[in-house]
Amino acid sequence: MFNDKNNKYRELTLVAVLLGILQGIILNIAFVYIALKLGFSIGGSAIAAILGYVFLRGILRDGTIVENNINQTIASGINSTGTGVAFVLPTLFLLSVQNQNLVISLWPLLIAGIGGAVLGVIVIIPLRKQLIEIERLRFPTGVAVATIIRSGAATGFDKAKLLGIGLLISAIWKLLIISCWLEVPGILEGEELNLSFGILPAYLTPAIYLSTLNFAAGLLSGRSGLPFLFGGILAWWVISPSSVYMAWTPAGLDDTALISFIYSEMLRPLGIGVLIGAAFMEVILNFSAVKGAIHSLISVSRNNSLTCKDEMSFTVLIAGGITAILFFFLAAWSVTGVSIIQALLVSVLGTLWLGLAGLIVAQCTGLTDISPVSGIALISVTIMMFALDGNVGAAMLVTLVVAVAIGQSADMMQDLKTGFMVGSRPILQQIVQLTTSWLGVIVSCTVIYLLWHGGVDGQNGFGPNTSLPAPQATVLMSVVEAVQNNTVPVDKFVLGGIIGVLLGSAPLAGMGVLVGLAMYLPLSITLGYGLGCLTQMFILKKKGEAFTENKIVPLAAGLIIGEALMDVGHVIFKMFL
Amino acid sequence: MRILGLLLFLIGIVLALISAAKLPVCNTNWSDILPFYGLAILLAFVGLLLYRQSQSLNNLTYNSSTILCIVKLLLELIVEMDKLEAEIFQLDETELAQRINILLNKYVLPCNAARQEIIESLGNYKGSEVLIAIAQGERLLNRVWSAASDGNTQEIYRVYPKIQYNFKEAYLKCLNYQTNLLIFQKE
Repeated sequence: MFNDKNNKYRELTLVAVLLGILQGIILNIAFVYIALKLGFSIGGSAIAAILGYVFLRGILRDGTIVENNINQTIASGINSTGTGVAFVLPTLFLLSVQNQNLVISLWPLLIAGIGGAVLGVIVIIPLRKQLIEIERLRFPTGVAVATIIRSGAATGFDKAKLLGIGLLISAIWKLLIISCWLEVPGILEGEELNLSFGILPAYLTPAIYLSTLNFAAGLLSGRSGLPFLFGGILAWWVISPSSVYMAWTPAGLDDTALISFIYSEMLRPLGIGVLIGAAFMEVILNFSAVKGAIHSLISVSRNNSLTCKDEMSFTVLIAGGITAILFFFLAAWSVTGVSIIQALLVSVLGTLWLGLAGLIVAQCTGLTDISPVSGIALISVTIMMFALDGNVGAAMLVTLVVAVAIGQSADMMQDLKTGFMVGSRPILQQIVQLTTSWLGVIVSCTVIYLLWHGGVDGQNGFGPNTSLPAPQATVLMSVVEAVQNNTVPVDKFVLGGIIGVLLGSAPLAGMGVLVGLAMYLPLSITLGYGLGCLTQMFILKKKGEAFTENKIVPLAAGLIIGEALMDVGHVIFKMFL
Repeated sequence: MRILGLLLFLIGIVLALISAAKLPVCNTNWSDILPFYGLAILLAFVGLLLYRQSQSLNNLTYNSSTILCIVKLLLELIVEMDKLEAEIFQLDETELAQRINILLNKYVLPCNAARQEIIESLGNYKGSEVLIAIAQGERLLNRVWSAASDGNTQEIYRVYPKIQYNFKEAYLKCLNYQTNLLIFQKE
């Protein structure tokens, strides 16, 4: 019999909100700094869930599973806005050194970023049913976080044990890899195992990425992730050798230069085109289902049936969307050289584009846990530079909005997946993400602003030849320069886009997006993920659906969390020692 | 026809990707094998049309059996849920969580595994309605599991009727669509 603790089930509580905000701000500051230092950021969901578990259930003793989900939703929402800001804003500061006409004012950026945070959540909410309930995308990090949150319960002990085993295996493996104890020159370097055996040519890039996180993402996806493996093989074992054989690559390049040429000039831009074409087609093909989801949101706003009040009202979404677009418009209009017509065009075009981009990123993270943010930023800069007559400041402002928004879309979906698995009410998660994630924009903009002005003569606080090299900003700067010099591979985007439309029409869900993403990434990642997919399919065949769901999922969750935690530890170790 | 369609589609996509990879020659915007790319796209398109056509014929012939299986599963789930309702507060949290796990593994998981067939059989809109109703029930079952683990009976009382409502809704929709499908096939 139950020992009833409380009449009301604790879910959206003041303590969960305050803890989430506090964790979100701390993680945001730390990860923005890490992004400037090392060029990549880290998701904070798992850390927030573990700390939430310790605080809510361990210290306060009356925390619940769904309350921790609210805490983790807020913390990761605030943290993930920092990722978008840290990708774009430093580029603007670095560009201002080269271009004296580029004046940076913090207010339009803040307004734009806040608009992006709100829009990113709003555009993805109507797609919750499509991505989570109909397509049932895996969202590996979301599943991992749900396993952590549920593992504390007495009834989840078996799964907690598997989670712990996975975590331990992953942590030990990561430790061995980063300490270079297993390193054998020519065979195992970095985190990649070379599979060329001294026979296969380098342009086939025969290597496998030895990441337990990557393998576990494949384990969670199974058969639905196979098009990703197919795309990688097609890119590197069919297109790459064909191009070399038909002499489409410059003669006399060494192995590294040849791989770099094939990757950056051929496969990557084609992959971005395929991604966008496929996502566009999926929106059209699934229009009836999305329309149905929106219809159900509208009916939820109107009736009081048993299923109501679990979804955010459509009226609120519309009102929020209009407010965010207004923010977007005002921010664009305040940039020097932007007319009212251009600002209007940018806010409408930008919103449509970020809706599509949000879907692309949510699908990619849902299927593989990998987010093609830099590819999306490249397209954003290209479109906006054309729409705004080469106005760098305004184009970067729109890119900031898109980067923040797509980060929010992906994060919201991950959190909603976690919420689905622990039985949270989606409306509460959506409300907290909408009302708190914008805080992350203020925090990260302030951190970057302060760090920049902390340099010599009140500027150059980060960038090349400083202690904070901001590698992502350097990459984005090269993209801006490519657009300015008209060297953007528009032909590849268009041709890839048409192929994406066809792949998006294929009967297998997510095929186009996965093939595009695989072409956009190195083969080693695709192979590691594909191995996970094949392993899951083998286990599923031998042991059945229930075994896979109850044993493999928690183990895979442990593998994901173990590597994520070791990565954070390693970064901190590298920064302070 | 189905295999031929798939084969043409794949060959077309592979050839289109290979030809799209070629860089434009100097001072032009497009590569010189663009016509070849166009042909490959056409081939893929024809393959896709053939595949889709054979698939829809296939669906009409076999799909009522898939829906019948889902109807049976949902009916059994509803019966099991009614049984659990009668004894729910005699169970402790571990027993309740185990019972929920059984419901999830035995009935909900197979329904979800057949989601592609449901969509193919009923079409995007109707299939989605059924899947959404099942998913709503599943999320609330997960909530009961969480509430049981947190020792909160009030929440279980509150949520349980909603789960039954959602699964009954999915069952009725499926039954209705399956009947229509059979009538359509007879005609």
